[in-house]
Amino acid sequence: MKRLFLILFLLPFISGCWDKVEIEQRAFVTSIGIDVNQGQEEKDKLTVTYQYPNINAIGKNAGVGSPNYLLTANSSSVFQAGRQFVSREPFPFHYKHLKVIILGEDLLKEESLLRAVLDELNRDTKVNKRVRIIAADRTAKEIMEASFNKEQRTEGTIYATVRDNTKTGSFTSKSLADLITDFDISGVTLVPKISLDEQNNFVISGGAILKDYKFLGWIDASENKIINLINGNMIVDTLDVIYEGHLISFVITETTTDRNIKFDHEIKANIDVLVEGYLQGYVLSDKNTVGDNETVLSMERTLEEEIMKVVNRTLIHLKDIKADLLGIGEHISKFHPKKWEKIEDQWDEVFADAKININVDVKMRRIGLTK
Amino acid sequence: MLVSKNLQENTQIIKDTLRDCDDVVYRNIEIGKDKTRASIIFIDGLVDKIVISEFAIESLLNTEDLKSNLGNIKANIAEKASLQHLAIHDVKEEEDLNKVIDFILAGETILLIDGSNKALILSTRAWPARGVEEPQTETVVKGPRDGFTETIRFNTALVRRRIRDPKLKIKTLKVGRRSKTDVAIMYIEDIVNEKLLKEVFKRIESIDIDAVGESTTLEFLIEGNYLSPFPQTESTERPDAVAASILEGRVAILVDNTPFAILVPTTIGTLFQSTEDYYTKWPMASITRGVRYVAAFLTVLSPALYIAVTSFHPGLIPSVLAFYVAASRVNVPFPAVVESFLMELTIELLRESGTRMAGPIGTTIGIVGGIIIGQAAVEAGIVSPLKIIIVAVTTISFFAISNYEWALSLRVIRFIFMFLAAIFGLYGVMLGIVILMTHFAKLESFGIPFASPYSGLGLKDGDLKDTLVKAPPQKLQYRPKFTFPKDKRRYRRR
Amino acid sequence: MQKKNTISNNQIKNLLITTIIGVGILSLPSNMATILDNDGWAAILASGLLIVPFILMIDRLFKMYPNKDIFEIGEEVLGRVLFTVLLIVLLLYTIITLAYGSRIFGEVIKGYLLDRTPIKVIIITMLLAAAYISRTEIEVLGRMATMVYPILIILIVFIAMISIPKGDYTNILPVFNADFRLLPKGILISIFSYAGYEIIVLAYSASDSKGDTLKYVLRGLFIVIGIYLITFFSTLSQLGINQLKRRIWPTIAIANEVDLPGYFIENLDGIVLALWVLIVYTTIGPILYTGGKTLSYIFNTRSHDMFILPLIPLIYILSIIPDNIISVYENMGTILGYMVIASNIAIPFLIFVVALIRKRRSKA
Repeated sequence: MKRLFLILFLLPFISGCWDKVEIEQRAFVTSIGIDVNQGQEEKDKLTVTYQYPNINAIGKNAGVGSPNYLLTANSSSVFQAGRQFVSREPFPFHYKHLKVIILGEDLLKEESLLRAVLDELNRDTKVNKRVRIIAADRTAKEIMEASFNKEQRTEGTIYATVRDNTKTGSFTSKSLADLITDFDISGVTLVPKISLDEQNNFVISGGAILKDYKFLGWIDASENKIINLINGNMIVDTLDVIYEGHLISFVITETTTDRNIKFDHEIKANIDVLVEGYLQGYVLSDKNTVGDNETVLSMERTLEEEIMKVVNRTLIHLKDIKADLLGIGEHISKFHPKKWEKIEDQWDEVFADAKININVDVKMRRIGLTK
Repeated sequence: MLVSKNLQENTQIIKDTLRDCDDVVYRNIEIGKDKTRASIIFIDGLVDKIVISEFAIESLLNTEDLKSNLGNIKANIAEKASLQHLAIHDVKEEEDLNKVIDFILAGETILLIDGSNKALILSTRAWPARGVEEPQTETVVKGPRDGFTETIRFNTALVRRRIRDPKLKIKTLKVGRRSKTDVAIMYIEDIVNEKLLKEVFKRIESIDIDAVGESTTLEFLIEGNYLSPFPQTESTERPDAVAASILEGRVAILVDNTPFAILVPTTIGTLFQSTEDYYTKWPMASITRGVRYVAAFLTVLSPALYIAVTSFHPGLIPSVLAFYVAASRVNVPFPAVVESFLMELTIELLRESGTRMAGPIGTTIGIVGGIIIGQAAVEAGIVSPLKIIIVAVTTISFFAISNYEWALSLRVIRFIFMFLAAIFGLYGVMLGIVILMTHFAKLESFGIPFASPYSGLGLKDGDLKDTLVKAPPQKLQYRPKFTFPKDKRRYRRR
Repeated sequence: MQKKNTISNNQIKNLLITTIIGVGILSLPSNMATILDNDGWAAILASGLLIVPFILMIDRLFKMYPNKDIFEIGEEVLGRVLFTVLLIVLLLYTIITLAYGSRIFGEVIKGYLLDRTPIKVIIITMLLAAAYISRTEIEVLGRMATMVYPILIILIVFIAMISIPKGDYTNILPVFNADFRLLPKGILISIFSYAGYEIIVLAYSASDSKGDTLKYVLRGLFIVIGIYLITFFSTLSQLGINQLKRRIWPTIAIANEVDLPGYFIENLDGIVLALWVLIVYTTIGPILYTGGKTLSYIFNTRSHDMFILPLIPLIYILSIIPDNIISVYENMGTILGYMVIASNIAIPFLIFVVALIRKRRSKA
């Protein structure tokens, strides 16, 4: 009996190992760029670009050759391109290490295609939902072609730059999961913008606003900072302001946001933002010192004014395009669910008409080592 | 067959049985005035000849008369001789001639007196024996350095020295039809669990085999599940380990002709314990225990996990690592599976050849072979450097496990895991783990679950304090539960 | 020394926990969120508490007939014929549950770990491995459960811990906003997640200290409820209510979300899945064991091992019948949802009630 059992148990093992692929015989796709193939039918409506590292150029025995390879094809969907590459590329693709997805500008403007692409990425079992989504202000292919040859980093420089928000507030890192969650909850999301500068190096700053899978517009770095500020996302960033004729550099270390929503015959949203930071640079002179409280307060006020300027500009812009990036809708849906159910469907209009009051309070906590 | 009163008859039977044994010596003497004839028979090489010459023969030859004060009661000659005329420390009487022959073969000296149907057994055992040395397989830094030898009586003495409790019992059995090896079972009467003791006796007494040369044969015969690769008994060369184990309620079995004592029952908890733990302070000892568990894990699973990760699931490791591993494996002609099996086989060969050669040659072969083969293989590009590291880690972990048989059985299991990983990747490894755990859950050592205390027995009674970690002795007030000891307390704080 | 076939109360508790927690933990948060939104936890809690009276009933039943095992009690109370009929229903339920569990297990492993391996192979190997443990006695099952239990707890603690830095706790809001008339529907679906608790009826009579068993069993049930609730809240706070509803297996998804700033750790879903194999094994093994024991009683044999191997092809065939994962959850899931009430709830209830009646009658 035991013997029969043993034989039965061993049978499946003799039949073969189906999933075995040697690690050096895989192509690890690290970035994918997606553009619209203009004027094409369903089967080839996308232009997909894969970037994967050149294994031979890594490690101690680094050989010659560009650090990454790039492959482009026209196909109907993202993973379909992978299958098309099979005829050109000896190794199977492995998507588990995918880090960055760049959406070309034309893709952003086509809602149905965008929806299709995002669904494909969300549904797949292999793709880690923490991949970063970046929007390009030109075709993704151009960006990738410009950057894939640059310095050797195993997972891609773009990824390393955009990975998290701790370094700067001028763009907001967005993962696939967060993107979809944003659409679910408030309908709007902000995706970092990547572009190329004059020397063909990539630059990530500002972002694209997407609403319900539609592209609404670009915002620049300063607006992005403000939005991050208001959402309490900012980690460390610098603000430059002219105070009494001299430049102050103020580093923001922490922001705390408090949202208060009142429902009268219209929505009144009060957002109190507490901005804390320290003084980075002023001017070295005996006349202008920061030694007394008055100067500090005065500086704070100047900073507040400066911030408020950008805040107002941003607020108008957002209301104009009806994009609630300030988290107000989300707040209502969580803290006042009954009210949210009533206004949920007309939130766009409600948001545009709502009285949004943003109060910024800057506190310069530290001034460094000198007065 | 009984000893007859006729000396001639007895001697003749003995001579016939021990025919062609030229190491048997027959010394005839006449005692006393009446010239009572007597015969002294012993085996040269097994006896202390000085004792025989000076204390047996001399005192007998100096006897004035043996029979005179007895009158007609001839049967008491032996007793009289023993009580009054023999200056030997231990004298027994025996009526069974077969047993008498057994005694001769065991190294005792026989005194046959004409007219007496009792033979006298004089205790004269002495043979070439090793002195007490440091045990070679288990060395400690700070503990005692006496190890068992091949003479069972010395070994029981070494244990007795450590437990001067009258409740320490030593029962001797003879096992083996032809070897008639002395086997001593040691236990502390008011601690040990009776059912356990009975089981031990039952298993040993039911052995019917030609010879038990040493302890391992006995070990393998009394194991409950001999098909399992895992040991259900422990062995040790150290008397302090035996003493400590007996005090926990276990039973020790000493076998003549071997310096290894057997300890039962055995559990996973005890297999990870080492004598050194008890001579080190508890933080370090606890960490060392933890390291041993990690080592066991590594030695079983490292190659299998390597295969699983590189060939099946590179997505499991962080990208940077994955790319480096891939880079290091470029141009390696073998798939990871073949690489693994090759390298593991090589290490087994090295290990085997190292054991074959004793002393410095063995060590050299190990080092030379290991380094050169490894280095050369990587340089030639046949093997990836990561694999060499894995093999090294596996082998070092093997040596980090304190119990040798346990480490060996884990080594065997390693290949099964590699096979499973080669086919099903991580899923195969998990299947293996699951079946292994079930096997541990099923296995019993003399009725005690093998996986204790992790499988439940003793968990609530604090057995974990001395298995997973090593608590200081102040905290170990109660004996571990896994032996079901009768007397639970072993340490009382004042 | 231990007598043969005795199991400690602690082992019974661990057996209860590891048997119940199986394939259900993967999809439970999602199913509950679909029905009750953010208040899915209420259904989990409610259905868990609903099991309590049945446990009490089982305990009383065993106290009424001390030293008898469940088969002897059932036969005495209901008569052999009726009891056998009920057991056949139970057996059917056991087989379908095992097929359901194996199929889902295969789908998950195939989806995350072994893409190209045929699912049939995955299912067969798991079943054969489970056969190994199901052919042993209850005390071995108890020991295995005790060994796996700490690993399960570590996994749950890990799941809870990763949601602390990354989770947005406001995602749990709004609470008490759901339509509580849907609660019964939620309970109906979540009650299946507690299936497996019937293993205790086989362990009760083998306990080494029968007086305290109830305490331990209840403790085990509460730990299960706790584990399910932690999973629900962790997945909810990490994914947000909409993603939670969308994902089929949210519990694995959150392992993926770990993205520590130190960056070295990623893609933890592999490790979570590896541990999950253990969890499923400790569910399929004991349930298969119950199947074998039931058959052993019906055919009046001394040991149950011989029935295990023949059961396996049956379970395997049943598990590959549904065409795809949706069909598994919808068809099999619904059937099981009803059967669990019949076999896990109605049958013990029936036995208990009849036993009570008989007792009253014999007193009078």
